[in-house]
Amino acid sequence: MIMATEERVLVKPPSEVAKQRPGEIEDASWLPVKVKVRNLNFHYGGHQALFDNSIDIPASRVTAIIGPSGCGKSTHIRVYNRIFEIYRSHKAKGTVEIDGENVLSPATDILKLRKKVGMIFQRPTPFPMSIFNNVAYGVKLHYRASRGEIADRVEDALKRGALWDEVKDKLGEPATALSGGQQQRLCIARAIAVEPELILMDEPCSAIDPVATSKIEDLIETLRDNYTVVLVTHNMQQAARVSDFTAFFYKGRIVEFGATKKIFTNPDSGQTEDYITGRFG
Amino acid sequence: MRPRSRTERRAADTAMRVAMVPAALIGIAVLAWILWEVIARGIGALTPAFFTELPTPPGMEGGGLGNAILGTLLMTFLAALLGTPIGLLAGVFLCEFGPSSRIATVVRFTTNLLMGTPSIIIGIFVYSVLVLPFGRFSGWAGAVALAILILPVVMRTTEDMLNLVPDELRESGLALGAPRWRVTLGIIFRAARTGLVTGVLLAVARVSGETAPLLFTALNSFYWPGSLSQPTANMTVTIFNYAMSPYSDWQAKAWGASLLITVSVLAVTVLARFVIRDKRKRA
Amino acid sequence: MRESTVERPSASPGAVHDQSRPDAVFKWLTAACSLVVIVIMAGIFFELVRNSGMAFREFGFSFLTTDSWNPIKGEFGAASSIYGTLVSTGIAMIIAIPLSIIIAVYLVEVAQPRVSRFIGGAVELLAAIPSIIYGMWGLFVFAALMQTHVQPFLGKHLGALPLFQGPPMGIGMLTAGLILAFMVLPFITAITRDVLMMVPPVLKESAYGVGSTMWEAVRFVSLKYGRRGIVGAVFLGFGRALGETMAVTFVIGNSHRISPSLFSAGNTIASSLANEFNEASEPIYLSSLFALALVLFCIMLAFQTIAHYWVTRMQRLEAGDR
Repeated sequence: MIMATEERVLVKPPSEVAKQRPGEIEDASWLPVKVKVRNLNFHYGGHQALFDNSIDIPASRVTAIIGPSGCGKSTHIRVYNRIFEIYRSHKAKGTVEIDGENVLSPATDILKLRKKVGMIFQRPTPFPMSIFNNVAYGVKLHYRASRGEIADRVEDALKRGALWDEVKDKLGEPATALSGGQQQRLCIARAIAVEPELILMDEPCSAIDPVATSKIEDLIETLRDNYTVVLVTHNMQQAARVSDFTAFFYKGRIVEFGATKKIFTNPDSGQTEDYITGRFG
Repeated sequence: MRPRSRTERRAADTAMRVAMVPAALIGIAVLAWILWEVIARGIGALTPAFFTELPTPPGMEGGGLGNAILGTLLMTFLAALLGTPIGLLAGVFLCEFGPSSRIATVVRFTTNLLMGTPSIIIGIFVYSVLVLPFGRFSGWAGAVALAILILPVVMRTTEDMLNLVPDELRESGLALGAPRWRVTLGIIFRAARTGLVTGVLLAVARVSGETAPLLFTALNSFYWPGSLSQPTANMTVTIFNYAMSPYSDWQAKAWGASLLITVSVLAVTVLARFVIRDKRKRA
Repeated sequence: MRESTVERPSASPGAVHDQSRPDAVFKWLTAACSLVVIVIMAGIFFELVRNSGMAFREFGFSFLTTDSWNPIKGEFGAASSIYGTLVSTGIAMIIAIPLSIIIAVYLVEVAQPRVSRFIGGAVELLAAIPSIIYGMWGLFVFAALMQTHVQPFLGKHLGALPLFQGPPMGIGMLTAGLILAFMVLPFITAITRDVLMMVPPVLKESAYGVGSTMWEAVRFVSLKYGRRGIVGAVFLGFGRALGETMAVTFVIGNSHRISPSLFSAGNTIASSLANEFNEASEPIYLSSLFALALVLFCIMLAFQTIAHYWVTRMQRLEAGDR
């Protein structure tokens, strides 16, 4: 079980590291850390949802968070971009360092943080505007740019979001007219358009059909090369398919974190094994 | 492509947040100011005689607005008696019988139009059908004008409230073999009772403070409302007449009547809102 | 406007024969009751047209364009009333729309829940106060403030504009417009607040998630999401202001002269009706007042129909998954 090691050293050159595919990675210890969480506790009013979470999310990899519903998976990643703060009664304590900066510190520039950390939600959330403006929205917020520059950025983001070919002829149409799967890829493109480094995905496939799901999984696969992805999922096959590392949450605690292959074949914890093999959850 | 200054964006955000506070305070301030003036200027007029005696001739001190209070109560009560049942049944039609039928769509649109029609036009309409032909202003005409104002509000509330009743309840009633009308009146109305009562109360409270529809129907009178086929005293037209008069005693009475009406209307409104909120919470 | 798409069973299938007749009677009774509104609307239109016939025969189309209103000479024109109605409503809307939306945003997005409930409650009470009370307050309290402070201030600083010239009388077009703004404000605020509260939390989270500030999230996402409801609220407020009678009658000064200054007295259709209807002794005078009422009624009808189609069109344009 790998948890809370203080320092990590690269033992392989990054070029070689980048070539590895999911499942091939056995050990996170030689990867740079993108998010370092220490003793994170979370309260919804009087109810405690997270207990002493500590984890190191490796950079440029896909990390899956699995566990039964209500175990705190979503709550955990909602701390990374401080989105929980828009609800008054939600409180987080502890440290969450992204690239060495504690995001929970009051000094954190929250707009900068959220530009750097994109988020995809359980249901597609197209804004009530055209497809083009959905993707341009974040760009316009964060940049002063000419029409041409924005159009280029939108096209690039839609291409990376694997949606360009399907929508290039109807960019002016309302985003709500797209199918659920397309809407979700649009949301991914919208997040990509502001050039985040870390993308949080909160069960992005829970509201869409299997075919659309496989497209999004393919997309996550391509994102892996340029972004750090944290994927919350209740679907264990999905975690096994797309992630390099997996964390198993249970009742607000991180029970186990390690290479996906190891978690799914030879977990250290009996609880993890029970969940993986379907004995509960 | 240059990054936008976050300081500027944040400054715009802060400016809006700061501007919001005085805006919101305007809302409170106007309410507080109106209430304060109405209370301060009206409380002195509310003597026992105000509730029980007839008005005195112009320029004479004393007397009261007992006739106007009684007249307003009478006409509002009659209007509720007239407008509510029709409104309830019409609401049943909109909700229970073909809610998406063409006729229901037309009725719904017309109801909106009627709700948006200025109350003074309702007054003029009633004047031309109930005052002109009979050659005299009457309390009946006033009550009908108020009923026309109550009707569309009750219709819409009824439709909304009946829509909140789950379909299972309708179906289980019908499944027992009960006829439609018994299911509607006995089960669905009962299930929606709180909402319906408060909806009607709100409509009646609002109408009780109306002036414009009474100006050319009930008119006003210095006497007790002995018969509703005569011009009938009422508080709102009295306020209008007294406020515009040069006599300070009358103006004081107008403030007294204003206070009485404001307090009653607000009290019913607050009560009804509490009940509705409570109901929604439980639903 | 709510559209229910679920067709309810129109009669219990296999209803026992002797029960279907009372049911049919019940259905027809409810249908008859709902037709009452149509009868009333048609009746209003018919009566106004019938009674205003004399005025339109006498003055023709120029009734709408002349501003002379002289009961002694028997000359009547609606121009000053139409002008006053539109100007006072315009002033009210210019002030009330932005203010209401800002207050609603404050209540939903910024204020502490307790503060929001308190101010929200106050706004709801403001909506419940009868219009004659606004009239009393406007005439005896607010007009005095206008006369001693607001109008002299405007005259001093903006006096170069013809809008703000003339003696500060307290009453007049501007005062009427402001009172109307106070009356309309709670309606628009309450609906806008409800609309903003209906915005799905996850949509707001997405807006914040790409790094919006509160105001950016509201302006570009929440207000856009709720624009249909907000436009509806604005239309509702507009309609109220157009037809509001008592509050305006108290403070507008009742003059049938069109003046460029907002300080001067004027009249609206509704205020003229309230002031003059019972005094109209000549048939042509009364008929002219009916004609005024018909004009107001037609403005209302046209306006509400436009509003209805606009809102349904927006609904259709937005039709997608909502």
